[in-house]
Order: sequence, then structure tokens, then C-alpha cells
Amino acid sequence: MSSRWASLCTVLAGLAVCGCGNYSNDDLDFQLALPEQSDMEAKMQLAIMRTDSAEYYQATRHAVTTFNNMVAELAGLIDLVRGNVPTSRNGDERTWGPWSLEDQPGWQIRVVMRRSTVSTTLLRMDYSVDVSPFGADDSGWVPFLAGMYVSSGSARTGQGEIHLLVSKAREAGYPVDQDPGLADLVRIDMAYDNADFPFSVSLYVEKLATASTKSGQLDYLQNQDGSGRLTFDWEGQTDTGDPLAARMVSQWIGSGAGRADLTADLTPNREGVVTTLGIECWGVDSVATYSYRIGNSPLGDPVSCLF
Amino acid sequence: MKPSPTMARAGPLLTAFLLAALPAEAAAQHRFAVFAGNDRGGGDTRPLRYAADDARKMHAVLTQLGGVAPDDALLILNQAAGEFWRALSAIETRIALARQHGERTLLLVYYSGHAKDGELRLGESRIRLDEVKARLLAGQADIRIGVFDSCRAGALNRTKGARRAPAFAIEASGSEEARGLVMLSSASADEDAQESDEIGGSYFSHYLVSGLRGDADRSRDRRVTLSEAYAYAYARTVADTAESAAGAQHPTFSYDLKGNADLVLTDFGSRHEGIYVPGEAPAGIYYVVDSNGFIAAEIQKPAGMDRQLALPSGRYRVRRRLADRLRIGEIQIVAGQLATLDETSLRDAPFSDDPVKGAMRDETGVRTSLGLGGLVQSFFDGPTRDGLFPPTGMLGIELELRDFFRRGWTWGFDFASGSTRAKVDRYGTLLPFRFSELTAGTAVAKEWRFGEGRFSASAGLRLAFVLMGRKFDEPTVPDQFFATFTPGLVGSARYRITKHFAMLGRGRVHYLLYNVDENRSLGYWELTLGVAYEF
Repeated sequence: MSSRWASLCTVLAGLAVCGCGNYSNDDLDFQLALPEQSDMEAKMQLAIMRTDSAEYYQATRHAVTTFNNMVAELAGLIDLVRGNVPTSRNGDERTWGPWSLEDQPGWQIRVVMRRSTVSTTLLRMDYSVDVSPFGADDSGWVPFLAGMYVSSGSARTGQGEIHLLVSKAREAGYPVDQDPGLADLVRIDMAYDNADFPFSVSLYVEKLATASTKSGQLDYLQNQDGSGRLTFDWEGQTDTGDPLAARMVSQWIGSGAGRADLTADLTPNREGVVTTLGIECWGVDSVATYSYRIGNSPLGDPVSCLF
Repeated sequence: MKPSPTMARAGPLLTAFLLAALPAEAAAQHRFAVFAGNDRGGGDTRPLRYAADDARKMHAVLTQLGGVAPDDALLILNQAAGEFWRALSAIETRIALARQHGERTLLLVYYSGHAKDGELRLGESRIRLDEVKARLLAGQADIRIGVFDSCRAGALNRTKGARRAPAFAIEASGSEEARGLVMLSSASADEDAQESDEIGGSYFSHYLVSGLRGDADRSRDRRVTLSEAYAYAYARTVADTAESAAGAQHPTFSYDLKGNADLVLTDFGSRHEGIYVPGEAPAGIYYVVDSNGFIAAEIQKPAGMDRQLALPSGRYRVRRRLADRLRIGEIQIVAGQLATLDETSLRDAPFSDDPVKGAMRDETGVRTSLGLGGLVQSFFDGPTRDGLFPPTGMLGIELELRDFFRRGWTWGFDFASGSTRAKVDRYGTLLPFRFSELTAGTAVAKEWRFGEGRFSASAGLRLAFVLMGRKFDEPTVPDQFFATFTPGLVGSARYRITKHFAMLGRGRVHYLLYNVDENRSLGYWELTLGVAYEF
């Protein structure tokens, strides 16, 4: 082969490997595994807020708002990679980053996702958002958030989990306490299932022992007709320092009318004796139609309660 | 000297002729000539490149060496049939006048151009071959010579006495001057007359001119007779076209001459202006290239024999081709002097230094074709086709430069764009998307033409840039794109419908390296159907 032909072949070969882009079917699997905020948030008719709205309605609304805010925070962390081309692809693994963290000088962040096949139609994804100090080797990466997802046959529907591992990051030296929202947190565990109705999301929050509320568990259930239920369990202390284990169960129908029950175990050692502290029912306008508080006479007609 | 095989076959007839022929005085006749050359032959023919040039060269050699006064020669280039008849009539009027003055006369009619279906084609106009032959038969000139350098012109000689032979002899039947008609044609009735980019003319006319300038002078009497010129042109034309794609081209002749004198066409002995190659110069073929880069004449020099060629004064370059190099040099011909070629003045040169301007002639013959068509593209690999790069229809436009690099080669540029809807199944999740593609390519191909250019087929290499993208219906999935260069092979077929329009079919096979998820070697094909406008 003459040198001219050799040069031509070299140029052609060079051009042939110049492909670039993000055109990838595999990437779709990873992108579809990442939950969006709307996939996990509680959907309750909360638009109405009046000065005379039922107290438990307001409490439920507050719990749902808190719940959705936490979901938004977690989803925001995952959004680091949504829509971005992976930095590296290695078989069933994709890595985005590492990038330096502007608000945490000396630290870098990356997102790693791993794909595994459960069956011909089911796919499992495990992902983590890791942080590491600059200069550390690969073993220096600490998972700050870890999640998994199992697909169920349509875009972003399936079962998933997200774990915010605040304590692990704190132990590794990552300055989590500079963020007021994370200052007294140990971990947040979230599980969701939106493969089929009823959709469910559960959120467990564990705080440091020094916090007034040590832990909380939110379980949300949504039916196809718009009705739903939110169960909120928490452990903490009363104002007098006594231990407290309380539960509020809120239920509503698609129109927004609903009922909430507040119970607590008031025994010194939490012996499983549940006491009803209050019951409240509200209508479509969020105004109480029936109200009961322990030690007080009920107000309204209990027949008005939907549940 | 060992004769070439062609010349060996020609030997008996040629010898008979040389023994029988008695040189005649060219100056004893009043000579007239009409030279017609036309590169174009109408809608169903492809333009020729050198027909007009050939007529110009014949005009030059016969007015310089052939005893044809410039006023008695008419040169008609790229004119219609009417102009040809008018010129012939004008010359015939002069011949009649000369005869009234008791002069012996000779008329030479030379035509170079298209001929088809028994007709000479002068642009869109026609002249029936039998009509022009009848006109010559009935002519008043004592000797009439028709030389027709065109495809299938041998149909003129389908008469008693017509020969497809290397030489002819004039019977020595008496002492009278020759009278009658001689018809020469460059090809047989079923052959194409071929042109050559290298020699810058048709084979037959080129050798006829070279022969008339002196290279055909086998008798070494410094005069070239009609039979010498024909024998020379015949041998060289057959030899040079034997290996061509169109096959060997055989000139033909017919004559109806009475008398014993051969026809001296050129007399270069009385003209001491030209080039002289001495006997000790190396044997071979010497090309004499004029200042425009075209071959003015060539000299076939045998070992140990000298050669003389009559050429107008001027500066020429001389080229002799060896197996591995050229020998080139320059020679100045001064008016009235014979310049002797000195072998030591030639130098070795690579073939790239060839002074012949064939490449430039190719550029002037570039034809541009603009095409529009529909295209289908599909990948060979099923899974790739089903969910990654779906089969796509596109609309394309292309520009093709035919005969650009050299004759028979094309250089094309194409652009196409299209889109389609498709779905990708990811573990049971069906994701609909719109796939869009844009391609831009360039291809170089060798073209073969058949049926007088009506059909052509080509094959070559193509390099394309492809930009593929898809937009998903699912709003949270980002748009994707992939861009790369892909090398491939292309094959085409073209059928010319009219003078300017052609149907076009094209097939391509390409290699594509997909390297997003992993390196995968993919292949795809494309089929194009369209129309092309050639201008």
C-alpha cells in the first residue's frame, strides 16, 4: 500500500471513530430509574386553608407539606444527573462526575448507578450519591444518598427506596451540620411503590438523641379515586420531658373531606396502651364538622364523619 | 527493421501500392477543401471533445503542406447542416470556375463529429450519408476525397470495392492522371470512432495529421500520399484502440479512381520548416507538444532511421515515453528552418511532468448534475433497527461533477434529511420517540457508460457525516443525538430520459462505529431513487 493510500485510510479510520453524542438505549434505563418528585409526593387536596379550618386538617396539611418538602430535597439530589450525559460508561455502570462542590470547598461529589436484570421485563437499579475529600483514593468515597429501583413496565413506575445517610457522611468528615436542615439528622429512609394503585410512600426520619423528636415515620397511601391516608408516627418527649409515642392517622376522599385521629401511648414505658387524644372530621371546605378532644365534650355531629 | 504485426499484415498491399504508385505533383492541381467539425450531435448523443479541434488540425496541415490555399479552404466549426451545404456549394462554384480555366481540381471534404443511423449529426441538424456521398460522386472536381471521422462512418463505404484494410493500391491502368472518388472513414459501419484525452483528439484524425506532417512518409521522398497517410493512420488507429474498452477501431476506405498516379496530399520536402529526428536518435514514439499543451504531431521513429516532420515555426516541447519515466525537452522551430532534435537536450522526468494538458481538457469537459430524490436508510442489525436507529425515509439533494478528476470519474456531494416515529422497549417500558436524521456526504466513483451514454453505472467510495437524534414523548427523558463520519461504498445506475433529465438509482452500504454505550461496528444500507438534471 502506498503512503498516500495509507494516509487516506488513516484519515478515514480516524473520522470513523469520531462519533460523539448521548444517543443511548442503555442510558434510558438509568434515566427512567431516577424518581421524580411527583412520583413520590403525597397528593392531598390541600388547596383550601381558612382561619377556621379544622385543626387536624391543618396538622395533616402541615405533615403533607413537610413530607413533600423532604421528597423534594431527595429528588433534588438525584436531579444532579437527570438529563446529563454520563461522564463514564462501563457496562452496567454509569458514573456522573466527580464534580467539585461549590458550597463545600475541598469536597467532590459523584453519582454512580448500577444496573442489574431481575427478569426479562424487570430491571433493578442501584444508585448512590457519593462525597469524597479531594485527594482521597477510591475508597474515600462515602455514600451520602443510596437508592434502588425495580421497574414495573412503564416509565418510572415500580418500587424504589432512597436512603439519606447523613450519619455516615458526618462520620467521614463531610460537614453536613453546616446545613441547618441536616444538623440533627441521622438518616432518612424512603420507600415508594407506584407500580399500581394504591400508590404508597413511606418516610422514616431518625434524628440525633439530642433532638426533641427522635424519630418519625410517615406512611402515605393514595387510591385511584383520589382518596388517601397519611399515618404519622413519632417518638419524642413531652414538654415535661416524659417520653411520647404518638400517631396521627388522616384519611380523606377525593373531594378533600376527611378525618384525623390522634392517639398516643401515654404509659411510662410505652406499654402499648393506646389513648385517643382527639378526633376531628372536616368537610370539603376544610371546616370541622365534628371535633373531639380528650377531657372535653365532643362538638358537632359524629354522623358527619366520612370514616 | 522488424515490422510491427499490423504493418506486416499490411505488407503485400502496401508494397504493391508503393511499387505501382508514381508520385504526382501536388502543385499541379488546384485544390479546394471543406473542413467541418462539430462536437455536438443532438439530444441523444454525448458531446465530443475534440471533433472541432480535429477539423482545425486538418485544416492547418493541408493549408500548410497540402497545397490548399487558405482562400480555397473553408473551416466550419460547430455549425449546422445548412452551413455545411452552403460552404460546399461555395467551394463547388469555385471548382467550376477553375475548371473553366482548364485547371485540374481536387476537392477534399473532411468531417469530424457524430454520425448515427446513416446520418451525420451536426448539432440538432442532420445530413444523410448517402446524400453527401451522392454529392461527392456528382462533383465536378477531378479528384474528390471524402474523409469522415465519426462513429459508424464506414456505412459510407458499403459499396462495391469498399475495404476494411490496412492499405490500398491504385491500379496502374495507364498514364492518365488520377480521376474519381476516394472515401475514407475512421471506423467500420458497426464501430464507434474513439477519442483520446492523451492525444487530445480522435485516434484516426490524430494519426492522419501526424502522417501528413511527415511521419507517414514510408517512401522517404518527403511527400505523403493519400495511401501512405491512410496506411499509417489505419495501423496506428487499430494498434492504439485494440486494448480500449470499446475495442479496436478499423478505418475503411472505398475508391473509384481511374489513372495511375497516386495522390500526393502533402509535400513537406519543399518546406524547410519543421523538426528533424536523426537516425542515431533512440527509437520510439516522439510526441511534439505545442505551446497550448496539445499534441501537434507525433513521430514514430524506427531504430537507425531518421524522420522529418513539417511543423509551423514556434516553440515545442518534445516528449518520449519510456517504461518508467519520460524524456522531455524543448525545441525551437525557426521559420524556414529544420530544427534537429538533439537527444542530449532531453532530460529525464517523472510522468507527473507530462507536458500534455490532458487534465485541463478534462476540466473543461466537466458536466454538472443536480439530483433530487427519495432515500430509504436501514441498518442491517435487527435490534439496532428496532429500537436504536429505526429505518428512515429521507429527501435528498445531490450535486455531481461528472468527468471532474478525469474522464469517467465523478465527484458528488449529497445532503439528505428525514424523520420517522418509532418506539423503544426497555424492559417492558415502551418509549415512543421521533427520530430525525441529517446526512451530508461526498463520493468519488468510477463511471461506465453504455448505449452512447444513455445508460451509465458507477461504483465508488463515499464518506458521509450523519447526525441522528431523537426526541421522546416522555418529557423527562432528555433528547439524544449521535454524530459521526461513516465510510462506505456506493453504486449507481443512471438512465437518461431526455437531453437533460435522467432517472437515478443509487445504493450505498456504510460502516458506522457506534461508540456511546460500547464500541459496536454497525452497517447500514441506503437506496435512493430520483431524477437528475444535467447541465
